[in-house]
Amino acid sequence: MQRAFRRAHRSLWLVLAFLIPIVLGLALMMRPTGTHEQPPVPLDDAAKSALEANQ
Amino acid sequence: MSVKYVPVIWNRTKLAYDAVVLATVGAYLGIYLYVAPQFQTVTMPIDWDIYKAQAFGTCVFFLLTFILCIGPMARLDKRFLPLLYNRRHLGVITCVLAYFHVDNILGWYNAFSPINRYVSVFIVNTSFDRFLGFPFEILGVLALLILTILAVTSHDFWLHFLKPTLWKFLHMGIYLAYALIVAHVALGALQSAAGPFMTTAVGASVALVAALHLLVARKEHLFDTQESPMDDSGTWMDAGDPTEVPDKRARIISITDDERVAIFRNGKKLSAISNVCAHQNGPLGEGKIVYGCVTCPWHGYQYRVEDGRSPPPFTEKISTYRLKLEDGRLWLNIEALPPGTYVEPVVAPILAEGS
Amino acid sequence: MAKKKPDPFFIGWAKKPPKVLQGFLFLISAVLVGAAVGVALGIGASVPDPGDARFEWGAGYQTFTGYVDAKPYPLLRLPAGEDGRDQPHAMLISGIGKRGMQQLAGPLDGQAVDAGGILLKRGDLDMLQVGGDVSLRAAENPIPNFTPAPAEHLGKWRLSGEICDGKCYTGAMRPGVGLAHKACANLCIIGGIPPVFVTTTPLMGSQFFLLADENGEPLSSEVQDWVALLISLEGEVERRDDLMIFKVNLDSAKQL
Repeated sequence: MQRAFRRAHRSLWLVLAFLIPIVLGLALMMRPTGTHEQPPVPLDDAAKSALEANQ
Repeated sequence: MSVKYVPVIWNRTKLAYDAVVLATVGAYLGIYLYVAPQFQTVTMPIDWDIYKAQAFGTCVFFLLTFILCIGPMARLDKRFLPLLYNRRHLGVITCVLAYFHVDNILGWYNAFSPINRYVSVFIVNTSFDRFLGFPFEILGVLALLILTILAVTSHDFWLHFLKPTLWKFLHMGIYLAYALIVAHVALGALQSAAGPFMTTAVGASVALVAALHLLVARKEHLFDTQESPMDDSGTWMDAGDPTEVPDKRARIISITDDERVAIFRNGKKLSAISNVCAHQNGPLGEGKIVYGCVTCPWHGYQYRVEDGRSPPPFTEKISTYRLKLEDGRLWLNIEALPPGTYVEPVVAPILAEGS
Repeated sequence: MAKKKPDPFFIGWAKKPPKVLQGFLFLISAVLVGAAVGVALGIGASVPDPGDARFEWGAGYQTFTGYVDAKPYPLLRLPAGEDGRDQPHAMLISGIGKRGMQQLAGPLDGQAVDAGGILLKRGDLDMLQVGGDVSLRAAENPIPNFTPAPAEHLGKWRLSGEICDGKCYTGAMRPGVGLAHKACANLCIIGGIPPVFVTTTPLMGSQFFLLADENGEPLSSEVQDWVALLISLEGEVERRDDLMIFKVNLDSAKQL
């Protein structure tokens, strides 16, 4: 039983020691940052003329 | 130890331990709540309830990180063993702090609404199919549930009621709780509410916990796969040179079948017992003979080295093993004797007392 | 004979740890408390700025007279001068807590009203938390010669930003944005608080858009799945006074 426990403990950590950093890393990488930013895009003529009128 | 249950037996060591823990938690919360705001560069301060929730939440995370480091640190360097002894106090404090975190969140983010605040945790965000935007609160709830179960069953009463093996398996739940909490933090606070310092600190903590556990797993694996030669009958295993066993200490032998055996030396006498403490499966072979008894390094449970029994009034007993000395080499019979069986110690005249 | 080396062994129930270990344990304790101080200071001092958003408790209870639009979400239309601004102003309104003003505003749609409450402000944005004696009622003394201007249509756009609830963002909570705040934002939106779109880049000087569906009606509950994420949305933009309204099709939402 003792060794079964140690084995379970070790296998669990072999999984967690990789899984936990991966989840953390993914979540951090997917964080919205400046690189995701997009300027407004006019999608029709009314939008374009409104933009011109505003400038 | 096992004679009678009292809530907690206090002594100076425990009091000092708890004093250090409370000082650490007090310093963390005090500095976070009352000193750090003076160094912030914010237009308007963060809402007090949210700020308190951050203080308690981060404190829980770092306490848990520390708790998870104690085990592997103690296996890598024995000087950390004293931190292990009252580790469950740390766990209970962590659980209590987690409830403060939750109370602050529910009293602010989930309040002021016609929907009941406890119900709202489970129904207002149902984006279970997303990674970002996943209802990370649920991960926190699951972790809190585990922390609560572990805190409630932390007393030795539960250890004896559930038996050590089941209890240890149950308390491995702390690793699951840690994984849940890292995900909870990564998908919640780290997405918007945390500054760069916190992100770095969380990353470093996770790296430390993972690295320490991998290091110890490697060390243990190397030990388990060591094979000592057997004699022709297949029942006696070469246990090496008796002079290499330090006085009052043990050598641990990994036997093929199921477990490890600790060969203790007490002066000129050598005895072999199971390496597994009856209390929490602690590694007896890393213990020491104190007042004539083998003493477990984890919680100080004691056994007479000749028969594996705890001295009266205690009733714990562990398996013993037979030893023999041939041509200056020690041989171990790998068949365990029933727990508590008396075995006459092997006397090795070449061992001088106290060397 | 080898010299006897110290062999310290800690026993938890012993009165004191062995002497050789005491120094080490003292050091560990000092390191722990020191780390707690350092980390707490580091994290607490580097929290992101939640912005200049607040309840204007200092200004006290305020009363405004104008018109109310019930759709997509209740708005006050104020003539120039009423709010200390030199242009007509469209102001979002909410009830107390996470409750919208739909029940009171609905029957008064398009009519002259008095509205009383506490202002929330974030820079140039504001919202009135309606309550107290005046609450929202048909105007006792309507402002003469004032009818709100019709909406100005600014075409179809794709905008990028985050859906927030209009109340927390304008000052009810700090921080009132981001995924950590998502549950709260959803509770607000469920309660009738207007969802708003805060864009990463301004469009014609504005980064703050009241959301509506394509027909100018309140958004369906599907919006809750998109709250607090960085997304792009497509739809018609219109302007009522100084307030931009973004009439979106939620099917166009894309996570960035």
